[in-house]
Amino acid sequence: MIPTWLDRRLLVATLPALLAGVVFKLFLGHRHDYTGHFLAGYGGTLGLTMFALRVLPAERFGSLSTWSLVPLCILCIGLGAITEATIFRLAKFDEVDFCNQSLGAVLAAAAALAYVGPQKPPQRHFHFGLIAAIAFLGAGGCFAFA
Amino acid sequence: MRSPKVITAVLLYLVGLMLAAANLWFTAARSTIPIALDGVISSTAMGREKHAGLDDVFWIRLGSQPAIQVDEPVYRAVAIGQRLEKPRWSKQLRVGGHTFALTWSQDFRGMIAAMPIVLGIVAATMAAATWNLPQRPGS
Repeated sequence: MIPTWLDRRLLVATLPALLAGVVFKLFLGHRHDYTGHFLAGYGGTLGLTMFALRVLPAERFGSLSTWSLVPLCILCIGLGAITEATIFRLAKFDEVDFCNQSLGAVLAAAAALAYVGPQKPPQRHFHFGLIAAIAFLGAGGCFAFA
Repeated sequence: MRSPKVITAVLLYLVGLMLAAANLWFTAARSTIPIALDGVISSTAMGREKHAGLDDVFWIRLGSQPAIQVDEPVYRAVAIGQRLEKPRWSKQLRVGGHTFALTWSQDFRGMIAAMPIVLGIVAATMAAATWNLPQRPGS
């Protein structure tokens, strides 16, 4: 019996990012910060996307939800660029860190495709997605600074 | 509503493709293998990042050109006042009267393996997210 909270959306929001994190560790394990930036970019974007979709009115969800994903992804990539250029700028703006966190943002927006459509899913789906996002953001912070 | 999802997926994938290509370019360029060099080193510098000794940043500047970031072995092989020469894509760097053999960094070799797989995961995620499955009650 599969628990009701474990649906396809939550699987899409967690398993691919976990797998990509393993790929980063496997091939770029000498640079924990690359994995960290990727996971943090994923968690931050998934979190913002879950919040934005959660507050979208049900009557406008069908027309706005899908088209909002690319702008949200670009917004998160831009916010990541600003943080990399300011508070996380130590020796320099690291282009590879930026690309990795932005790739995480793209994967998060791809996963969010499971949440959009003509019908707004029940709120609990966004809540579980947000919890997963916070977990990925935390893991990313640990890898980036550990 | 399938079409907006497909358009969104294609746009996102193009962004991901550019980012993966940029990852490959930046890590490759730091070896100096893909770029041409011709000039006298006017300055070198090292910067500390989050993990000293692991992710330090190294720069060299030729004449009055903008400083370029290089891998640590390149930084260690050169000194201020030496002339550097190499054509694009050559693995032989002429440093003064000597030749230094350039190699791809661990970062670049990791990216070459990881980026295609990550792009595959992005594509698979899009396929799984847009797949129309019968919904369970309350889903």
